[in-house]
Amino acid sequence: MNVEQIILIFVAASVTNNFVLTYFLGICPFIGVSNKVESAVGLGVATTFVMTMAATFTWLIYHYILVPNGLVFLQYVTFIIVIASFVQFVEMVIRKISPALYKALGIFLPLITTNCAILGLTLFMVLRDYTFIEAVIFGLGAGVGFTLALVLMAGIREELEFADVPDSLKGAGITLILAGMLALSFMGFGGLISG
Amino acid sequence: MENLALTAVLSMAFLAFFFAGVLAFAHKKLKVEEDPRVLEVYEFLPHVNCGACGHVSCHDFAESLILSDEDPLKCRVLGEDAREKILDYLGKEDNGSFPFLPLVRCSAGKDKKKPAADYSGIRTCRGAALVFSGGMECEYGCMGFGDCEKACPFGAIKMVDALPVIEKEKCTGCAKCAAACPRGIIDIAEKKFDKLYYVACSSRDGALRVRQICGVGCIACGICEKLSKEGLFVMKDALSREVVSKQGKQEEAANIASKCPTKVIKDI
Repeated sequence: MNVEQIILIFVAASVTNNFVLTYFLGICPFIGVSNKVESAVGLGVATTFVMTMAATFTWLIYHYILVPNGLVFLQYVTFIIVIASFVQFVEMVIRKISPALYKALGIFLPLITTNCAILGLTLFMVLRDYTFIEAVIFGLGAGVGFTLALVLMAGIREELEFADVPDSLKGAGITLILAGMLALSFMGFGGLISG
Repeated sequence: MENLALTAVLSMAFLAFFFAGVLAFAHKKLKVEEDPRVLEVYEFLPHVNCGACGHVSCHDFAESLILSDEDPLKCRVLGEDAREKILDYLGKEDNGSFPFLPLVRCSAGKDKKKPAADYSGIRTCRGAALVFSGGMECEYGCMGFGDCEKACPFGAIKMVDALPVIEKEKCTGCAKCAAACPRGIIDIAEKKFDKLYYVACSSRDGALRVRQICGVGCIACGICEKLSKEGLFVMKDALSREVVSKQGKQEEAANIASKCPTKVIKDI
């Protein structure tokens, strides 16, 4: 168990290979929920939880159920079951703890299920042959990275309220341009970690 | 091979039951108590989530009906039956409301829309409205791409001869069409009487130009205003407008409509 390796995986998943800004996964909630910092943080935390738990459980299921029985071809179905279950769980928890957040997130909360960043995470995990600890850290890092991107974007968009945006770019247009610029600036981290 | 199928089924079943069990347990533990009245009122609502009442969904509307004393008549989609049931349930009086209908303020059919240029962009009104005058000489009229038809959740609008035609039986007055029209041609009005006479034109151009580019628009001659002693029609910004509250004088309104030189006063 190499500590350096683990820190590397965390930083890579959250910053240099940020799921949203480098792999362009999970763009839908990225655009949809980045209006307010508050709800962005809420969705970010919920997604981080789902990502970490999904990574943990899919790793266990993959290595202790699918591989020994030769059922690797079922990985997509299995992963989706795990993700969907956790999203349901998170939905219940948020509804209980914070009805206001539940309302603010609206349809994007159940839509975490279809967030491709999460399925992407589980598939990367298999592809890169991570050990259990590495997988958990990878999930956590990816979640933190997703939250980071979401909150950054929400912060910018809150400022944008006061900006004089040309008519034709209002709304989605300027948001996508901003997302592109944010992605470009994240490319600057590219040389930080090699491999 | 059979073995593989069996293990596949078994392991998937195991996983499914495991997660179902966890969720069922969580559901019990984390159950949120909901006001049962909300659900009962929700049952009366149309469940179409059109948003005409100003709430996100029918469920949201039901919640505000119970918890914050919202006016149930804000739901325009309610049928007679459902309205009575809800008013009854909430113990409120029906203070008399009438159906809302959209008024299409343009009469120019396909051959009356004089083209100014050849518009070959996206075939929507929204798209066309962004480019000068959408390929039409008239800057106010219906461009005829049918954004309102697509916006209608009830299928009550059909484009006939490049103009929207409203099926009164299906229309609920939810005003989605009015919001979809980039030129704001569609007004929503309360229909209190048998017929509602309205001016089917939005052009603020002068008489000469209207005659040149359209021929079926309001030329602002003012005849309707002069003829209506009770103020049934009023001129404003080179355009005539009906006064909905005075439409009780149905015969007079019909008479004035027949006197309009361009026959632009129509009824719905």
